[in-house]
Order: sequence, then structure tokens, then C-alpha cells
Amino acid sequence: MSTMVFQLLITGIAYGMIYSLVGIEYTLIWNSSGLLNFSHDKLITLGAYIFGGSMIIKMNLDNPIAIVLTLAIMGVVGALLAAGIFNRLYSMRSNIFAIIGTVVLAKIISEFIRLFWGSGNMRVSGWLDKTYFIGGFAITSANIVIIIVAILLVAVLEVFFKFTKTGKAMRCVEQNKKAAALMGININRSICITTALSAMICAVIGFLVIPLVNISATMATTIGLKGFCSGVIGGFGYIPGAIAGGIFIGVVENLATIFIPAVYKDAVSFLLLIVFLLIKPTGFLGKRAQGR
Amino acid sequence: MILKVSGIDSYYGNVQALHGVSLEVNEKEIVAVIGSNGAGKSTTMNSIMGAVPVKSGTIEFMGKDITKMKTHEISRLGIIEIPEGREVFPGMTVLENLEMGSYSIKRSRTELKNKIEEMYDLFPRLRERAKQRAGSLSGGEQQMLAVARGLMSDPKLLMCDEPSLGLAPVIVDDMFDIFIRVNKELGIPIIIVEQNAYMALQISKRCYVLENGYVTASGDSEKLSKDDTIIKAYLGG
Repeated sequence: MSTMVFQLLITGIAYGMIYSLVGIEYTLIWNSSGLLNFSHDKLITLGAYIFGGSMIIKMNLDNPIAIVLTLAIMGVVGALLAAGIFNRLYSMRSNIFAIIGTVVLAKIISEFIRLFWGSGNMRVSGWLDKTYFIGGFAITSANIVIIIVAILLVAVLEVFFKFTKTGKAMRCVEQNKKAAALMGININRSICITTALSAMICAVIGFLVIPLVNISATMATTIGLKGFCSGVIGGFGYIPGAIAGGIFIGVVENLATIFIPAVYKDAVSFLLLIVFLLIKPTGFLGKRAQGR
Repeated sequence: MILKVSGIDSYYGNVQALHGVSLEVNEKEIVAVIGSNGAGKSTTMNSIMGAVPVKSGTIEFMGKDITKMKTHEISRLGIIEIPEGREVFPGMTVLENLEMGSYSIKRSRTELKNKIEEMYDLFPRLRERAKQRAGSLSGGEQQMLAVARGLMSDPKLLMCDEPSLGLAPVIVDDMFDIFIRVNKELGIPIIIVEQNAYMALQISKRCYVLENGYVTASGDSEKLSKDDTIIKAYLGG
């Protein structure tokens, strides 16, 4: 019993960290531009297709080269999206336009994927598909890498936002756009950098989920929604909240499979979302988020 | 002449907020802009800063036409607005707020440190609060921080929008003393936009009176403060 709980805990933390990364990505865009980006699960998918579909399967590139190239391409895609779409949407009168805009963008990206890579599933063999047995339980290399990469990424982001000029300027834009402009910060450029960064995070999430699900047009749909849940449950607009919310969801939904059939696993996070929206809509770190 | 605003018309959507507003700021001068709520004082500031589009008329800053420039570009030229309601970065520490004030200026670590020390000498309260989040400061302290943050970039012109708003009278006095010191010691020209006309007239050399988007009076502050209509309308006479 205890081995099983431990096993589920490891899996839960790994999945939770994926949700956290998605939540962080939501938070970045939300804080910098006030946009709820509902296209980002498609950006995750796009990253996975560019990496797995083109660079590894078609072009047979080495993993490190493929990773760097994909990150670069996604960074450019993000900056273009900001310059062409987000910068225009954030200043519109109602948020609804912007939200619908990102929903439509998601459709466009997914149709592009279908045209370019076809509608079939893809499998990348040899990418994080080992399983190690330590003592009595199994742990996959995917889970280990997810946990390590997520922790590293969060640490890097923390340093970036605390100690670099660009990172600090992004925090200024997030906290007060008017004052940021008065300080001489170019808001549109800052949003471009944020969006590029978040598209690159999407690519990283794409790399990490390839071993968990086949590459397909809908591979990131549930992950995207759960990332949104983790933001709400942890406290929206607050990065530590997204991390806490993501890990919480991941662990709870995996431990829940002890009591309920595994097919209902996905329902758990949405149930949690509803419960939190009813009882504590600010999320469990929400108070601190508001006091910022 | 530092700033020359010539006959600007500004709009919020279809509503005209400014009608041919002109004003000038000379070197080392404190200029006051007074008027009641909704007279167009803040709109004038926002038009100068490029935050409200100007339909006609021109704004020149040190001989350069800035009418169509963006806010961050104007700020980099050296006009610093200390906005109404302080607008500090609430989630950042006092120190970080000050650092961001010098965003557009290249400074070495020591130069930055010296500049911050200079601000702490001007506002000793900020030194005590250096590590606190700006959102947790009192209104007066936030106003000090906003002014210090503005001074961090060595502005060539300082514009303060309603610096006395919501502050206790004692703190208002302190605030105006600071402006006089900044003006005298650093030689920076200042525009003060105020509903508190009495204070504004006292510390300024010249004054503009705005009403419904028009400049209705302007001139020497001392003379204006003895003018009957001004006394009736703004000084509670």
C-alpha cells in the first residue's frame, strides 16, 4: 500500500509540475498584458510538433540541437504573436475581444498543425522513455526530468525577475503600466519579450509531455485546462500560487485513483476548480497575491 | 524655454477635453496649474506625456517637437511626471522602486548606489523603509517615494499631478518644502498641478488657471493670489 502511495505521489508531483508550468505561463501573459491566453495549449502542441514531428522524426537532428532550435523558433513565434495580436488586443475596451481573439488564435494554430503535419498521431521513440526500478517501485525518466526541469525553470525565472533589468521592467509593467511608461519602459516591447518567454515555456512543456501522451492536435487540451485550474486554485496572477496549485492538483488527482477508477482522474481537478470558485475564489495564496 | 505648449486640443474619444491650451515653463521656474475637478489639469499633463492624443497644436520640449511621441520616449528625454495617486510599484520594495526610477539611464553600480543615497538624504524616511514593499507604505511615504523615484532619472522637468491629494496637512507642508528644495538645490523646473490653489500659488512663480478645458487666466502667482475672481473661485474668499 505505502509503495503504491509513494508511486502515485511521484507521478502526481511530476504531473503537478507540468500543470504548474502551464499555470506560470498563463500567469506571465495575464500579468504582463491582462490577457487570458486560451491559445497556449496549442502553443504547447506546436512546440511538441516542431520538436518531435519535424526536428527529430523528419530531420533526425540530435536532441540538444533540436531543443535549442525549437526554443528559438517558439521565441520568435511568441514575439510575432505579441507584436501582431496581443499588443493590439490588450488595449481594447473590453477583455472579451481579447479572450475571443486568443480562442480564435488557438483554432488557427491547430488547423495550421493539421495542414502541416497531418492529423495522425506521432510517437517519438527514445525520448525520455526509460523506466528505472529503485527498491520496490518504478520511476520513469520522464518523471525525473519533468521534476528537475520544472524546478530549474522556476529558479531561473525567479532570478530573471528579481535581478535583471528586463525582468524587473516586466514586473513593473505587470504592477502598473502607467507608471512603467513614465519610467521610460517601452510597454509593447516588454509584452513582446514576455510573450516570447511564455512561448518558449510552452515549448519546454511540449518537450516534457511528449513521453506522457502521443503527439496529436489535442495532446495539450486537458493539460492546458488543468494549468488554468492550478492558477485559480493557487491564486490567480501570482506565480507561487500557480506552482502550489499545480502540484496540489497533480497530487490530489493521482492519489484519488486509490479510491475512484482512474478514468475519472481528470474530473478531480475540475471538481477542485468548482469547489475553490465557490468557497475560496481567491485561491489558497490569493490573499498574498492581492497584497502585492 | 524648457517647455512650450501651444494651443493644444485633446480629446477623450469624441469628447473634447482641452481647447487650445497654451503654457510655458522657463528654466528653474516653478509653474502652477490650478483649477477645479474636471477642468482639464490632468489631461494637460497626460497630453504632454503622450498618454492622451493631441489633435491639434504643438508641444515642444527644449526645442524638440514631442507632440506625437510615445510616453516612454518622452520620459527618456527627461520629462518626468509624478502621477496623481502616486502610482508606485506596490509589489516591489522601496529600493527596487528607486532603481526602476533610473531605468532609462545607464549607471554603474556605484553611481546608482550614490544616487539612491542622495534620495535617502532628501527623504530619510525612505531609508528606514528601504526593504519594505511600497504597497505597505503610508500615503505620505508613497508620495515621497514617487517623487524620489522621479528624481532618480535626473529629470530636466518635473511635473507633479495633485501631490497633496489625500495627504495630511502637515505632510503637505513637508511635500511643498521638498519641491522648493528640489527646485532651488537641483535647479529643476517644476510644474505643479493642484486643487489646493493656496499652496500652489504660494510656492510657484507663475500660474495658469484652467476652467472647462480653457486657460482662463495666467500670470504672476503673487498677482493672481490678490485677484478678486481667483480669490472667490479658488481661495475660499
